[in-house]
Amino acid sequence: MKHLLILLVVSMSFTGHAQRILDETVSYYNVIKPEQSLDSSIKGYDVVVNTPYTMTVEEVNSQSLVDFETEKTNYQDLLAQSKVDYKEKLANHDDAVAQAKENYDIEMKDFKELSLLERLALTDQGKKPQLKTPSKPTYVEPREPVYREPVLSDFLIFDHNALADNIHLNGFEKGSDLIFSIDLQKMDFQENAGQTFYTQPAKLTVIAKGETIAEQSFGEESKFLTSASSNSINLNRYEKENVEKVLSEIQHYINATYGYTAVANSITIEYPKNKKREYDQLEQAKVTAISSFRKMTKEASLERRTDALEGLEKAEALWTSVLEKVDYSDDKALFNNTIAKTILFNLITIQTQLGQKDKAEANLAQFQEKIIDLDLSSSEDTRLTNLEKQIYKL
Amino acid sequence: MRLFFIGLLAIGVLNISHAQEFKIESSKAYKKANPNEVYEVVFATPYGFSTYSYLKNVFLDNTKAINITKYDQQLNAFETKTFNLPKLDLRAADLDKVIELETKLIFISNSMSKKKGVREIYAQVYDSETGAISEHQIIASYAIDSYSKSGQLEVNASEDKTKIVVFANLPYVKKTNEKIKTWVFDNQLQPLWSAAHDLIVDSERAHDQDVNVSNDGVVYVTKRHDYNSKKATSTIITITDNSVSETVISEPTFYVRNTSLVNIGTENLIAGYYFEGNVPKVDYNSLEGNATTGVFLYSPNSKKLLGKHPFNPAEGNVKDLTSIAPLHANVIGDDIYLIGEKQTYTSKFKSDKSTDLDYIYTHGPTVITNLDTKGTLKNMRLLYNDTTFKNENSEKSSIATVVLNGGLKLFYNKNDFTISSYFNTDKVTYNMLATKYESGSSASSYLVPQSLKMVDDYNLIYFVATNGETYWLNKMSW
Repeated sequence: MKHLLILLVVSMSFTGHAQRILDETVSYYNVIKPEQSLDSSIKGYDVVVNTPYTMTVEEVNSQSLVDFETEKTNYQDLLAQSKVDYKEKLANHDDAVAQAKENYDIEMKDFKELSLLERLALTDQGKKPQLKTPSKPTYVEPREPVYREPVLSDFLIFDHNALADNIHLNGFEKGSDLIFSIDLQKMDFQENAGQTFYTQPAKLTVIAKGETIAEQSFGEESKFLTSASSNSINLNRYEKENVEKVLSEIQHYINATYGYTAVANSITIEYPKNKKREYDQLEQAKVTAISSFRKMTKEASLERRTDALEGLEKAEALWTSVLEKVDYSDDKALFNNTIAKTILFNLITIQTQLGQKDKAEANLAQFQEKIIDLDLSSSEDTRLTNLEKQIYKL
Repeated sequence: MRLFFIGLLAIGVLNISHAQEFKIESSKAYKKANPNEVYEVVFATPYGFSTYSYLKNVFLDNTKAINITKYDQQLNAFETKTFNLPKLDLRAADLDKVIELETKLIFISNSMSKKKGVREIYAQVYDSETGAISEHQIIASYAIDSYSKSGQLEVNASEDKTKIVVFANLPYVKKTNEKIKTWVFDNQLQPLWSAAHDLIVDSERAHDQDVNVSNDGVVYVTKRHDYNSKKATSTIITITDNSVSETVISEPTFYVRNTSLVNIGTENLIAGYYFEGNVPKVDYNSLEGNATTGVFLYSPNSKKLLGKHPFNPAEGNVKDLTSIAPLHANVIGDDIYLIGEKQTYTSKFKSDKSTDLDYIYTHGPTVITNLDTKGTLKNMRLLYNDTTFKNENSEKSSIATVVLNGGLKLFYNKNDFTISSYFNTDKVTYNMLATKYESGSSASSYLVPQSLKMVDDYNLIYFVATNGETYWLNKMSW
């Protein structure tokens, strides 16, 4: 026990200068920049959707009532037929009774030809012939049709305003500077060798301040739908699904081309424990970075994001200045390899996540230059490899 | 348990918009000639119906009779016809399937002869208009080695009853691939095609599989192979007149249990139940049943699992949901209602030291799953109607369904005679089913769900009710 205590004291003295690295995670929204930046004067957009679908809920309901009237008319036919069937049944009833009597007479004749013992045995078993005649039929009315509300999801009903309202351009307000006009055609089904294919062309026209600035076509190529014949499938259902699919594709296109899409992300910033106030600069850098990321909310304006990025640059400058003080050859130094790793990981992670490829590559090169001195653990090595892969994908 | 159920009938109703008054008329009480006789209602019309009956679990070699009785509107029998299933040598055929057409019943049966080394499959047709039974015809046959090496036979009909499939796993041969034979007929018993194939899997003595035929004559076999080992596989075999394809759909922790073929108009889907785990162990003689995890929907056309959903009903304990097998699969618009039930049985020698067997059945709980045709789970509900019955008493268990006014009605025995909507929004307590003994004294009775038949276009249902050894035919109208 005594030896164990000595060992503990000795080991503590060896780690007296080791820095304890802490971390803090913060969630933020990164913004994916558009492929084409719009003129800075464009602040608002509007969407107009034109489709060939003009059916309304009211029309479906009135059609349903018309169908029910047809059903009621058909019921009259069914009713008439049931009366005919009944009359036939009634007319055949006498024949059926006569037939039953005839069968009974034959069975009885055979029965009487049996010996007394056989007759007694059959009677005992309940097998003595009995005259069973069908009762005279009584008329039964068929079931009257019952009205059911139409299932609206089975119909091609679209509210054009609702369709347009569901298309959003990220990073912009609703307005009239930019108009996205979408013209959707009807779904066209083609059959080939028992299989069904389809097309549903749609055209997007982008109008900025009254002038067409771009046009794009969608859904023109023929696509496979099902290996069943078009006669045997519910075309409305496929068409309804496809309208949503095409509009979703268009929304994705306009956001990739013109929008600023906020994507949820989180980042972990590392920093040494600063009990003796030896790492004030690093703590300051961490606080600045975390605060900057917190400013990057989903709804953050462009100005606020610029402000956040400036804050991050300040944090990076602090980290870079400390990095210059690192003594890579002395493990016991105040700014040693552990501090260097912490700073470099922070810098590369932030720059990779924000898509700052050049800066990230430069810091990665610095990391790799010192990689022998930095003596990475296997988990650190894996972390660096993953970051490296991400940088090359930028 | 017996008291719990005596004379009580529960009816669940889906999409019923208002409470309905049901009127039930019962026939005179009758007793079966043999306790193992099973009655099925057929040709239900407003002016009467017929029943056919046969003996279940009776291993008679020499004679197997089918009785067909016509009943009038007043539920009185007025004509009975009896015929025997065919014989091969002295061995009477076993009944495999009865297919009800508009005016005909097709009886498919099979028998085998060790001496002749053959198994024959027969068809006999009953015409309800003339009352005539056709001569039996041999519709298929194959060679056997012995009774214990005679392969396995499955017969089924398509949903629209236009196609009939006879499917044979040929006798086991050590260290060879499994051989199958398939015959497909129309409902006039005209052969459409037949084919013999070797499967990829090894030959087995017994086969755990579901055989279905679609309305367009494609045969789908869901095969559960080697389920008690880590080599277990679930395969969908699709057989047409000129092709066979085997698709393994099991994954390391996903294995298929019992399935059913569902025609959604656009295509045929396989709906059923699955097990999630390492080894999908199967015990064929256990009342506890085999672990089942949930419900799935698979498209054989696109070879895609459309959806799988673990049992998670609002009511009850999912641990009770073992050995769930599909009972009914109803398609209403874009909704698939799959009704599955725990169905296990075991057999043991009777206690009086005779060589006769007692069969003990457990049916229920029942789980009703509403999926859309894309495999999305819309609703799941559990019905606690579990019953354990011995021998012929098992006919009181299980559940019947009818599609009415765009909804689904459920009929089953429970501890109250209740009419309730599927979503429990329209519950109406109803009187007990009151029947009378021959002596005139009152008797409550059970529904025999398997017997229930609705008359098309009429508010009229026929069913058999029972209490002990006494039976009644019933007519329900509203």
